[in-house]
Amino acid sequence: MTPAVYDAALQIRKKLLSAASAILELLEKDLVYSEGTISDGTNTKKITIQEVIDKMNVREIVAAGARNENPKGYMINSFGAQFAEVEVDTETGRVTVLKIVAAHDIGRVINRKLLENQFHGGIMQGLSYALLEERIMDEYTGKVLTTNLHSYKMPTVMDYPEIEVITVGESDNMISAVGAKGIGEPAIIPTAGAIANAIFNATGLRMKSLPITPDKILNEIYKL
Amino acid sequence: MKNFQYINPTSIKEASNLMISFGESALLYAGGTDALSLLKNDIYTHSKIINLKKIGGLNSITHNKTSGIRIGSLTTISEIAKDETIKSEYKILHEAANEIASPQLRNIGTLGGNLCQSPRCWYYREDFDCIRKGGGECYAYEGRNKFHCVVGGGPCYIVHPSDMAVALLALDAKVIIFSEVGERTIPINELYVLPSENSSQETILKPGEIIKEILVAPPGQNTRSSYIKFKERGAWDFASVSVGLVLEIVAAKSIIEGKAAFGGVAPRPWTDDKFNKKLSGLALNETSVSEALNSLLNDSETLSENAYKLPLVKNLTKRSILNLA
Amino acid sequence: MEDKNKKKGLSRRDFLKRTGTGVAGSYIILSDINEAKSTSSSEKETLKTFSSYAQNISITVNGQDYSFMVEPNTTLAELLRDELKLTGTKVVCNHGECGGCTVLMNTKAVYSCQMLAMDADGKDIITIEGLLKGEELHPLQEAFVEQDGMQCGFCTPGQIMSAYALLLNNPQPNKQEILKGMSGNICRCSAYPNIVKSVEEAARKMNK
Repeated sequence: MTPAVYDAALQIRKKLLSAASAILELLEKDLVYSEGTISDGTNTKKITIQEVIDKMNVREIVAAGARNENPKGYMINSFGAQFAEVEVDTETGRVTVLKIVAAHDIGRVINRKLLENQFHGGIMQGLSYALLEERIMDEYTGKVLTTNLHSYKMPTVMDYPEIEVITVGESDNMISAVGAKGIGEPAIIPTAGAIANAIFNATGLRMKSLPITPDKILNEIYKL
Repeated sequence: MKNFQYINPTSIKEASNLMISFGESALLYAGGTDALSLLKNDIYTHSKIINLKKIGGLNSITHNKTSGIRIGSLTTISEIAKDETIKSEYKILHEAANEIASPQLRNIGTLGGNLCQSPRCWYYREDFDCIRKGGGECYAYEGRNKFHCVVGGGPCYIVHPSDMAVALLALDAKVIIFSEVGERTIPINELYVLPSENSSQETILKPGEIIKEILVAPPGQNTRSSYIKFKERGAWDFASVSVGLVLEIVAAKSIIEGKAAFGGVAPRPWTDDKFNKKLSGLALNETSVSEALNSLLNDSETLSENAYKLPLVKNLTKRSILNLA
Repeated sequence: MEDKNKKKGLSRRDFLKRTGTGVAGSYIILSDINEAKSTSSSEKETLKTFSSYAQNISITVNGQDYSFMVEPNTTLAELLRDELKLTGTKVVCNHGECGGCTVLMNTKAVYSCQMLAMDADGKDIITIEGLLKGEELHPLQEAFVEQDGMQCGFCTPGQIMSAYALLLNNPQPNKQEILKGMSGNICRCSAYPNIVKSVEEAARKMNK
């Protein structure tokens, strides 16, 4: 979405500059836009955006923007790696995720706070996919049995681990006008694999179906 | 949710009389945290709801050094969880209360309601005409039964969902039941029935009978207790298995006498007399505790997806006992 | 321009500016609150028909007294949203399993969807709308903005009301107490780390 907004904003700037050029009687290419003011660069002739809009006598300026197409002959990938530290209670089958370290190449970081929140959400959904959420169906009737939020177990605030976010990579202007790749979905992908591998590292158990609930771990340990 | 008549008796006698005169069309309603879901999903179809909350005198906790504690059935779970005496003298009750659902539900849910809540079996709660709803079959028996019972099942294989019932069973609590012919006091162990005795209700309560109070004897000088609830997620979850323990311990070496109660394993809060006997004189070390646990739930009948509950209940019990040492 | 001396914290307008979306929706909420206040409930009742089971209840919501005829099968959440138009209270699961509908009843957090309106008779209710002071956000609301304690924001009113109840009864909670206090509210986006930070920051500010 950001590249589309950026594109639309560029078009609006062009419209404003074109109007300002008529008002200031200067060539569009000689105008400089900075902090809401359009000037000749030396500030001898200048006009604020508010004044330009008043003179244009319009209520709104509309522009539609779009994300550019992917460049030809150039691969775009969101690379990422995640590391999970888990504790497996071999007497109860409980897997506790102690820490997730997530390093992703997301291109340019635009808003650090929102970015980290996206990381947290993606990782938690991955963690929940790994350990909690399961749609259980009655095989004879095809009816779903987990139709509510206490039997379909989404994580609560008691279920999140320490999460360390590392952003790698640089702004890549081949990708889009803003140079960002995004993180919402990429952060979900490696988490379950990292957790399952950490369980293997801790116990030697290769868990092959998700979610890895305590009963499955106990079934493996006790050969039930 | 279908509409119903909401009736607010102001005395327990009046409530009891209403239940008798309306018969099966009436439902006793305390906090309503469970009943409301069942009404919304048309599992309950009562046309008269008898609200107990306007009855005075049933929502407090009283302490007495010689007779113990007396908890009114309308006391909320939050009140029990924050009671300082319960916290220091009946740790098992404090811990059980804190493990129930979520803060919002603990603020509304009552002790009586918790003891009388309906099972969480998904076949019962979903659109299946199962035995507990008057049908002819238990769908869990050959269906999805990861959370179903490993002992005491048949013809229905629910587990009883109450945490408080397990804790109170380990404490040998007594239940004061009001009925039109007068009050009677029974051990909480006698409150619950197995599906083989009655497959359509979980308690012995007859129409017009209402749980009034719960009594728990004072703890001994060497009493230690705990409640461990194993649930799949961190909060708002029912027990896969839970263990309530009340032990008299001498000098951290051995148990004089003890009682264990279990949740999540049977259609009612469960206790195993043979195992309780073994607790007497048991030395508090891993080897002897493990040995005592060998025979726990020996009469179990596991289903296709719940065999994990056996090692789970044994391991949790061992952990609980050793934690109390 | 805003008078900087007048307001210390974020105003509702700042909040809307920052989040950038939902401006129209939010103004509708404000105007509806005013409308609900100015229309007497008895006027509205004449337009409705009730079953013989309906009863009259008195209820205080965000400091304002109301009297309503309600059907027994009306939940408190339905009363707040449909009659009082206080739509900040969200009904998500409608079974007391997610926390979106959390409000305060006599200073305690409750699921308004899992309570009959009749059981709120004579009770004092606070909803998310009750936290605003004119245009000024409550420190908790501010903290959720500052710490980005949300992604989609749908669970946020419930999260804030749980936090409000927690801090009202325990002004200086430790981390474990915060987790426990917030454990009845599900956030599908799982913004939990920032939700906890928001509560911590609000507690710090409110204790100053």
